Amino acid sequence: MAASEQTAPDDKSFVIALAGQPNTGKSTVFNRLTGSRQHVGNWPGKTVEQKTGNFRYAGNEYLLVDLPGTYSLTANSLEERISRSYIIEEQPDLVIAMVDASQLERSLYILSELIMLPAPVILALNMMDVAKEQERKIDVNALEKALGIKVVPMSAARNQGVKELQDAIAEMRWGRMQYNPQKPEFKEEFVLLFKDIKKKIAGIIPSSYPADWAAVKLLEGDSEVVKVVKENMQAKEWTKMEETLSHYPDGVLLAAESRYNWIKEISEKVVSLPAGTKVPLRSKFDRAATHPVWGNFIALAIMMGALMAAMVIGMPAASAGMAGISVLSGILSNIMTGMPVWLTAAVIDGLVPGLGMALAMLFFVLAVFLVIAVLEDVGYMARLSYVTDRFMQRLGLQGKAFMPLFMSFCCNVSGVMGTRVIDSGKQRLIAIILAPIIPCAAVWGVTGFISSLFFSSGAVIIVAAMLAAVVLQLVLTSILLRRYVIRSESGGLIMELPPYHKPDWKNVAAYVWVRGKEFLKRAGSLIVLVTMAIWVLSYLPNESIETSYLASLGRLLEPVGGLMGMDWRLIICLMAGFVSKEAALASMAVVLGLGEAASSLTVLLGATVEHASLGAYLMTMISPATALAFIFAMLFSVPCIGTVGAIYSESRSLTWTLGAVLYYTLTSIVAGIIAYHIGLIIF
Amino acid sequence: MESITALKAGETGIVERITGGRSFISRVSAMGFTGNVEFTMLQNFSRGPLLVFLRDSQIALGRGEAEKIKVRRI
Ligand SMILES: Nc1nc2c(ncn2[C@@H]2O[C@H](COP(=O)(O)OP(=O)(O)OP(=O)(O)O)[C@@H](O)[C@H]2O)c(=O)[nH]1
Ligand SMILES: [Mg+2]
Repeated sequence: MAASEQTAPDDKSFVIALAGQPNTGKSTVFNRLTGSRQHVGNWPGKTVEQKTGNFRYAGNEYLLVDLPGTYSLTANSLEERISRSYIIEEQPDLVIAMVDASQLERSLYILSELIMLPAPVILALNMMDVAKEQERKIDVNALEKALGIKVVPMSAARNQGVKELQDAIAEMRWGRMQYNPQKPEFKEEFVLLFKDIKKKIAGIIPSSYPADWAAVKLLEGDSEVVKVVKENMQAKEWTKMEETLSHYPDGVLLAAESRYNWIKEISEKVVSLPAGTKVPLRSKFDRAATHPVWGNFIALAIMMGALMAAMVIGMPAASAGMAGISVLSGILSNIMTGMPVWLTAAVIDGLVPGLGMALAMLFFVLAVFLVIAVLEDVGYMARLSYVTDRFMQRLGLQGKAFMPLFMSFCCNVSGVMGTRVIDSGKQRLIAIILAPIIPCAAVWGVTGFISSLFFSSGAVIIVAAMLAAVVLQLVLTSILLRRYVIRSESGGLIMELPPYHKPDWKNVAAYVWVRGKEFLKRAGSLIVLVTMAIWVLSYLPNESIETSYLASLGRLLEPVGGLMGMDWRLIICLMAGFVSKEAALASMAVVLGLGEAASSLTVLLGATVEHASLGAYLMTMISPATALAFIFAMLFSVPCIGTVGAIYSESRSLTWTLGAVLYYTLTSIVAGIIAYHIGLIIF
Repeated sequence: MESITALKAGETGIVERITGGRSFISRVSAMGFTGNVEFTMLQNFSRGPLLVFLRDSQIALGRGEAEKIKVRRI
């Protein structure tokens, strides 16, 4: 440890990695320690979230890195690889192992792996309050002695033990603490084997790999370690090694069993339970929430409530945001009198609507994240995943993807961002791409208006057909993705149902705040940029939509539009849906020559549409078959700018983002054509 | 030996053997399923995932997954 030579405080940040199984209170500790000094991003090149934060203690600076919560540190999932390669390659100065005192046996498992890695570890024994409630007594001193490392008992949610944890961190920093970790021991028959393996891999494995650890990982058949050793070893040597290892086909199980035996031995010494309380009583609610029948009703009720809550919070805030645009435009046009016309137009018709859009979506994002944060913090999310899992598996997704996809009905942007609750990178990418298939509130608004206009009582059938089409597209797209593009590690359900907890409002607030900030910084700026670009396309060269480059593009696409029964004007309206779904209606009024002439498309963002006159006019302008085509083309249309921005900021991949845009453009056209021809037959 | 799906809610047993691929075994063993561990079945309807209590925690297991875990009743 370099830090042990230090005697006086210095400015160099001391790097601490926070590791632990899911739901042990990592985020809670992270929030208590760093407050608002946190940064959320992705691990380089990955769809896995990375949280870092800073804090000062006793005049020194510390950098805290939140590792993905995982049950073990094998190379099975992206998350596990990220966690362990961070500790091995980046060599943090200290690792805090978060453990749940009320679930000591299972949650110590990760410590049995961490302790084999080179970074020094201290144990944060969290949820002591819960353990106390269960009358579970833990002898902290004995635990410290058995593990040979510092143990800090705490109840992070009650702010107990946080100071002690900081003290322990500082003690480690200045090398004032003993560190003699006891490592899990394997059965005698393995001791010789490991000795033999270690001799053979000496000088072969990277110097950052601890030899003991690498030997166990070879026994487990860990894909990453096996690959490294195989690449660096002479072929003959490797064949011999493979032969040796083949005597232990269930090496993974042997290793896990040894670790758990080690844990059991320790926990039997330090934990005492009141007699006769091995299995906890399950509450009535939990029985119902996980019941194959009642569970669905509870899930449905909670999800409806959640969706409504998100809408109730999001809608008014969003429309207030949009209304703010016209106020701001008014003020700006006063200020900017005398400046060049194009500049005024660029600011008022391009920039301001873009800002308004980003703002309106921000409110939806905040509302949805608030709902998600509460459900997650309370522990219900796992139950929801449990009951929806069977259905979601058919889409090739886990139950965890249900929530974000459902929230997409409110706003696709928040759906895409909500995929953060999915803890597998690949599964998350699939959900990100699938989310825009769900029609958001605005799409329902536009398509609902047109279908009730043209098909009056038949509109119910249209809506049913739309829902069926959405399910069909979800299934087809997910099959396409999984078969040809993302081979997911999915597999069936193996999931912990964590104990319920009271919501911690600080956690909830931190979660919502950090996400909101992230959205503005990444997706928000993209929304503004693209809106500006669309403004340019629809404003130049003649300062009018009808003669703009965008209109020329519409005319260029007329042959395609013809297949859907649409002329260039309706094509522009579809393209306007790319700006925002609401803009599709507003642009109809303009390009059909009904509303006032508009200088650009983006100016329509804040426009109000007079439904009655637009409706009457539309009826005379287009046929029912074309209307049907428009509805379905809209339903399957390209995600709006906001969603595209979110896809990019969440996937961190231009290829995926453009791929999705292209894919949904195609499906939109195909759906439009099919609907038109069906319409021709029916009407 | 029978698989864990044969146990009714409230019954306890001991895990004897886990079959299946390495990645499957690695996943379940991290959640606490290893040889010789005692567990209690919490919920087992004729369809849908099971709920098992072991090593201080409640684990949900898909039926397909559960078939691969062989146990002995006690
Ligand atoms: N009673 C009690 N609850 C706690 C304590 N610490 C955290 N919690 C609650 O436990 C739940 C999980 O805490 P998180 O901080 O989200 O856990 P995490 O380790 O970040 O979980 P993942 O992000 O899923 O890996 C939340 O509801 C917290 O409010 C504690 O000391 N006592
Ligand atoms: Mg967390």
